[in-house]
Amino acid sequence: MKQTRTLPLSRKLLRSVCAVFIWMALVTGVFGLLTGSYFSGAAWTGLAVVLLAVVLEGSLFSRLENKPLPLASFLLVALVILLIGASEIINMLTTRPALSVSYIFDALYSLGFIVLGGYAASQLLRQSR
Amino acid sequence: MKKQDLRLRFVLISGLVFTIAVSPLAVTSLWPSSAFAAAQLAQPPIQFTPNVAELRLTSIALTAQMATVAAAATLSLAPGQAYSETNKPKVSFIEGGDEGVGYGPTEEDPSVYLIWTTDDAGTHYYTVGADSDQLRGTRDPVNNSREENGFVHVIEEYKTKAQEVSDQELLVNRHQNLRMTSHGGALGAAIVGGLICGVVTGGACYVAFGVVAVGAWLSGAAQNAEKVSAQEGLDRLQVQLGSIEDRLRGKFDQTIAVGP
Repeated sequence: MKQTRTLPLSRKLLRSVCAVFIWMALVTGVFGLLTGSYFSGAAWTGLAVVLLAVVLEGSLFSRLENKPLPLASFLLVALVILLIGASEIINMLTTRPALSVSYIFDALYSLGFIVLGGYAASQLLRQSR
Repeated sequence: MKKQDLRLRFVLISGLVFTIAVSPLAVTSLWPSSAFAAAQLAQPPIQFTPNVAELRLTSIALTAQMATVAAAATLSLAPGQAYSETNKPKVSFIEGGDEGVGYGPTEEDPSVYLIWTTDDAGTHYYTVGADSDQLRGTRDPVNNSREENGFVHVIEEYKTKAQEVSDQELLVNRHQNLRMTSHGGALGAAIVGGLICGVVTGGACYVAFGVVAVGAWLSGAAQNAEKVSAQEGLDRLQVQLGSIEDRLRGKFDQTIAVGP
């Protein structure tokens, strides 16, 4: 029978990945609210706040901590973070700076993702070693 | 509590506070994209010396306004008078344009129209006849029809272009919103998929969540390309709008120079 390689899920990794997602949800939500997309804006902002509360509360993470996860779980998250990170870097390099709400949120979103996503990716790499 | 826990908590709370603080600031400081709106917000009080002998038309909009404000205070309303924000006659309604640039019949005498434009010094007002060539366009000497070179025509052009700019801004924001939503969805699918697949099903649905995540990422990338293209279109439209605003101010100055 084929053995699947598993790795323990660390609290630090969970938090770093959640931090990226919270950042994305928060910026998307606030941008949506400011530009008239009230429904999606409220949904994303609400999701960010709920997830932030879950992270700060910590009991869910305590249950998930040290659960053995197949390597594919880590690879899936790492792949998506890398794909989005590449897009965001290209976006930052190709978008002309401008004094507009759209550009400021664009830059905030990309910069935040690159910083937090980079940290999460380093945690994923460290975990999978 | 662990030091690392405290650090992550600090990062998260800082991000939240920063976003909440920056968002309203960004909006209040950057929302009035039109130069007219910005000029209106920062309009200084107009100072003038009522010395008609020193009237020069080199800086027509301001000097003509200064010269005739004194006369307007004592004479009855008539075409050919310039006003400031403080003493302008009221209009019954804005027939064309907006608060920054436009025209409309005066309440006091509907046969006298007020026209106005805004520049860095504020909004300038001038009265013309309801049938003025400068307002409605000059007449063709052959068939007596109006040429499309009046103040009203430039205002119409301005209005159309301003609407195009507004529509394009909405389009840019829409693509931006969809890009963020798609990328957020991609990561969400990867996190939830990875956890559910790993913890609950032992990996049975990795492929499904992987396809959803990559599909959402691709959609976000496509929206980003659309956004860049829409932003270029917006830049072009804003240059065109600026050029029409310059023409409007030129037409206003010409009206004062030629007469009502």
